[in-house]
Amino acid sequence: MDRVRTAARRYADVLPRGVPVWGYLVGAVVAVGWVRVASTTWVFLGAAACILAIACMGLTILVGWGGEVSLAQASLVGTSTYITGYALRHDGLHWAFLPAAALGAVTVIALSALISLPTARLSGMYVMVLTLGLQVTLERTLFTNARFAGGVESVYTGRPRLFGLGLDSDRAYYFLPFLVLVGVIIGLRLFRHSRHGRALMMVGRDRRAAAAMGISPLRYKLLAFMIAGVLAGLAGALTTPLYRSPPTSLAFISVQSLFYLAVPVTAGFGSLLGVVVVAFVFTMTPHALESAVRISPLLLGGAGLMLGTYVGPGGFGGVLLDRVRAGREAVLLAADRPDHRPAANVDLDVRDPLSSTVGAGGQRP
Amino acid sequence: MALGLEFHSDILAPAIINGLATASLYGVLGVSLVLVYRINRSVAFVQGGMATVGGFLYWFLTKDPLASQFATKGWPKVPAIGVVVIVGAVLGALYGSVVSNRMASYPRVTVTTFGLGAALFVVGLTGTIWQGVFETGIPGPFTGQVRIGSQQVSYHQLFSLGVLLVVCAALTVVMKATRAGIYVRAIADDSEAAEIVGIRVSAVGTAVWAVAGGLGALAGALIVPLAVLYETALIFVLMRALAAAVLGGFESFALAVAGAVVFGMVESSVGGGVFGTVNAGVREVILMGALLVGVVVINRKRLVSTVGGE
Repeated sequence: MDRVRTAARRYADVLPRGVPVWGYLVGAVVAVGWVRVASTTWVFLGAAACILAIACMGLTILVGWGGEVSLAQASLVGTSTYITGYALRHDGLHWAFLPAAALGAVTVIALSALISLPTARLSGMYVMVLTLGLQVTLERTLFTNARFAGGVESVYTGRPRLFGLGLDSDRAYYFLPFLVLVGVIIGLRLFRHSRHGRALMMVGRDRRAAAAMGISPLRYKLLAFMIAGVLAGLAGALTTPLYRSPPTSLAFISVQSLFYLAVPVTAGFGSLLGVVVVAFVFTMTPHALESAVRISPLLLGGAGLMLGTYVGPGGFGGVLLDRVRAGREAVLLAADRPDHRPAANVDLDVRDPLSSTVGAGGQRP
Repeated sequence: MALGLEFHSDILAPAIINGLATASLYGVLGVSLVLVYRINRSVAFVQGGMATVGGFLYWFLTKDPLASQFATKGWPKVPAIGVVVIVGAVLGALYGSVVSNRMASYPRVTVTTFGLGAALFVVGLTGTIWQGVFETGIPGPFTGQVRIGSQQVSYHQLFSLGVLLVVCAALTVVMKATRAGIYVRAIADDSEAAEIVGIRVSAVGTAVWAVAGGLGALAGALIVPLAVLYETALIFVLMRALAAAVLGGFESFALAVAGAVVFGMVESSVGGGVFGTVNAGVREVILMGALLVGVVVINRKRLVSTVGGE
């Protein structure tokens, strides 16, 4: 019975604390229902935002929890996109969607392992340099290969049928990346509260202290790279059917890796939902402003990345969340409730370890 | 993708000359990366943005407005280079004032990530202002060619090489024989101790960033006559400059130049057909391999002992 209770408590941790049941219901209705009323362009962008969020959550693990910065995420997503597309197409391997997606993901995981092994003992800046090297190498090799990327002639990939359900329309296809995103969030929240998740965060916060406690920094660094690879692979596999034809390699070049990095840094590493929000904002804002002014999404990404690192450990989103929490605590204190205690917020547990990596407010003068 | 075992000695000499010229382009940017690393021990990815600004600004100032869909200026090229350097220096100083003041005590990885954001912002800004620019054949400040051995070398390539040598020599002298150089070295060793003995760390840091910004913008202006100019083109060149700086251990200007020469020659020899026909993909893998060896083998012991614990 105790084991059941423990398991139930663990799964309850998946949900953010302090949110009422009706909040979840409204959230679910909005997340699913907006697809009914929005135009197909916005729904398409919504699916793209979900995929971006999945890829960026890999960086949340790697950068935020593991304390390493990778500049190769876009190339990994692109690799998975092109490999999955090649495996799906009639002139390629002509596999079903799920095995094709698995092939794309496995290839990317292998690449992640390949780059993480030689960099395992190097400092963060050199990991950046080498991952940028991997990015450029993939750009110049795989992405220029017409068999995978399509070259000047576009190749048709199409959208899959899954479990008897057709996903050909934009509205139907939106639910595939959306459900994968929900699954990823649940999985990552469970991982964060697991023994391995806490060990990873310990390694990200202080490698030497982690080693002193018997945690292998090398092992958990590799694990972080692998998880980032899995999520990049998933994102790439979902990108292939989204566009029906492989997108140009410009979608996966070096600056796109910086753009990917901008999303979790802007959102702050304490909130997975924040990553989703920023991914949606970054994807949809240029389109929303298009009639007034055409701005490059890279501009938003750059501003987000600068602000995210400048303001402190929680990123731009973290500052907003801190303000909200401070406001709530002020209200509680004003009410002078006798049973008042500071909220045991799991997000704060995550934020602190990052003060030694991307976030730096804890060491501000 | 197969590598042949050919060796064409007849084109080795031209490839070496061409490699030297190419190296000068990577070298100017590489030297600026070393300069910044010496003041705050972070990799200045922002220099990719500075080079982008320099490249676009040089094109904007010099392109004949009658031959462009944009409202370009059509200025003479040498004054335009001067303006590019000044703008780069001002932007570098602005950036430096931020990272040398409020962010001075931030971890190096954070400052490096901030630089990535700045580079991305600048690239996005140029892409927003000059949307759809895709220019080839932008003339350099000096046109014409000279024959060296059996190889034609443009005056622009010689000018770039000259700039690199002058910059490298000047920075080496400044670092080793002037008070400013002593300040920079003191800050690099221990910024808190430097502040205690009266060195104005933020002012020196800002000045160094101004110099680096000017060099980054100059590198961009020198590169665009030999490359295609578009929104993200110069980030690729940054990768080569980074590799050169890495091979030089981020410490020595001369070693960074040597790293650039190695990369320039490898790229030129392999791409020029000295070892038979090698496609661009294999060339890239070879360069990536050289980078990997440079980082892992050459720097590993020193890095682990100096900055591995950050």
